Amino acid sequence: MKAAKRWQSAYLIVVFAVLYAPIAYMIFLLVQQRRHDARLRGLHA
Amino acid sequence: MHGFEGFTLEYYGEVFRDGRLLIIVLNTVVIALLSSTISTILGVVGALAIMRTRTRRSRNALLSMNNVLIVSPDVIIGASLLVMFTMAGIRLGFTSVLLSHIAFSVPIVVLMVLPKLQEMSPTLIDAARDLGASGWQVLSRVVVPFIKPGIFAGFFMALTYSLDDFAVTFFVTGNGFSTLSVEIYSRARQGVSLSINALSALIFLFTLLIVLGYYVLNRRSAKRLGTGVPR
Amino acid sequence: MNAKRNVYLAPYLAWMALFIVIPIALIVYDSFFDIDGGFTFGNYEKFLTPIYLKMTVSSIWYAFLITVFSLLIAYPAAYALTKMKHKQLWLLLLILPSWVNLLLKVYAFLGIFGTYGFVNGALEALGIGRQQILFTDFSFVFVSVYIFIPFMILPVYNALEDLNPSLVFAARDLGASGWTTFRKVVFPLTLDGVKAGCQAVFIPALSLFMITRLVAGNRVITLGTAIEQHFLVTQDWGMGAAIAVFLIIAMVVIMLLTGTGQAGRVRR
Repeated sequence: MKAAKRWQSAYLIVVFAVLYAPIAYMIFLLVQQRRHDARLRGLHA
Repeated sequence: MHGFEGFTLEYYGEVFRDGRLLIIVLNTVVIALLSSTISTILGVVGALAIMRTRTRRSRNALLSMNNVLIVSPDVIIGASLLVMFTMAGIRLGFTSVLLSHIAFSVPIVVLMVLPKLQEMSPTLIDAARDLGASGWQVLSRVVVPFIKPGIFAGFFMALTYSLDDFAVTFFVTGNGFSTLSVEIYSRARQGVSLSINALSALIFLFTLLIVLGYYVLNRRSAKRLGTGVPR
Repeated sequence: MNAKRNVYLAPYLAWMALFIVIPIALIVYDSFFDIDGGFTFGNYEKFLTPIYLKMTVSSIWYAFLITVFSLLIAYPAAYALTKMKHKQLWLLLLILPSWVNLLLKVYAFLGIFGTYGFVNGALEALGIGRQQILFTDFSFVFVSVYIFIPFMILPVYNALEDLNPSLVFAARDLGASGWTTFRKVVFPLTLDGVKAGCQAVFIPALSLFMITRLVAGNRVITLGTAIEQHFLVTQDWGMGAAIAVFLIIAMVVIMLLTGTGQAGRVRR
């Protein structure tokens, strides 16, 4: 029973991590404007 | 971590120097506030209309009509409204976008207000009537205060849906008028530009503010009514 | 209140006529006209040609994939959610991302999946090397599933919450294994939630066009992109309207199959 519970929590954490990934990325962009700029120039080059 | 040269507010300055962008931000906010206010009024009227139907059948008919716009894909709503506006001779721009946002917001408000109306005991209205209240007084002094949480919830839902909408607006926006979502889309399609990132961040913060405001307001009205149901 | 006339009905009915009945009637009407304004059944004939049928089938296939993956990920998540301690907090966390502008999230994925994005950086660090992720079927399905997941989790979660736990205990007491209990008791009793979730995902997935354009490039054509193309690019409104009519019919069929559960509006 305990093991099942641990698996459930782990699964939820993974799902929620993905759910928040783009938002975390947006916040990351907030503080790293310049670096992102250089990288995206590469993307579209 | 090469390439990271520290924090800069340069691009935020760029956003504010960009006059076109400022106008678009203003458009988006004005459309959102106007459409959610009007659709809240219409939605309350609609919910009252549904509540007052006498037979179960007509109530279900009204409810399923209401649901049509909720389940319809945005593309259908956008395309059909585009056809209608063109036929009616309404110029695509501010008016058409505003009308479309009202169109898809009303059913949401109805759905948020209706449960509150159903919760309300009819004896409350009877009592007010017995005490000599007019129809208008019953509405403004008894019904509206009771369903206030539903009205607030509906208003905020309409507000966020309007701020968030892309597909419907994209269809009915025409040339020369743009909202933030449409602008981000067209800029993102041309390749990623610097100002989008700053702009995105600004919208993100704005959304957070609205959500926060919603919860604070909701908390307060819930407390006043003594029902601690956070929604 | 009982004997009074329903004064609110007239404005509400007027609104519904203006913004629901008339627009949909006009779409049906428009689908019978060709690009020059002549009456024709040609749009529907064209819809039955292999090009359009192939597009329709592929659009349905993608929508099906998106729905299945959403369900496969969402069901265990909803199940785990019901077992958590702070359910309200988890639910709030689940709903919160859907308040963030959809375009922003999709835009963030452009960065994450890009040639020099996070994922490719990780792949390179693992020694796999950079891959083309953006503009593939994978990225399209992934981002779509990402967008729709909360709308699948919520109805399933609600159904699981409504489930009477004593039924599960009874099944276990009678000797059913965990899997049998799930298959014979839990899943059938939460079928309504699953149906509502599938409805909330499948219909919008058929008509996606923004995600398709930004994430899949021109690789994937859905009914949504086809309608947008005809209305806004080639200006062949008749053809666009014919596809829209098909989409409306598909929508009605799905609603009849899954019941008119109020799954909530999905933004895209």
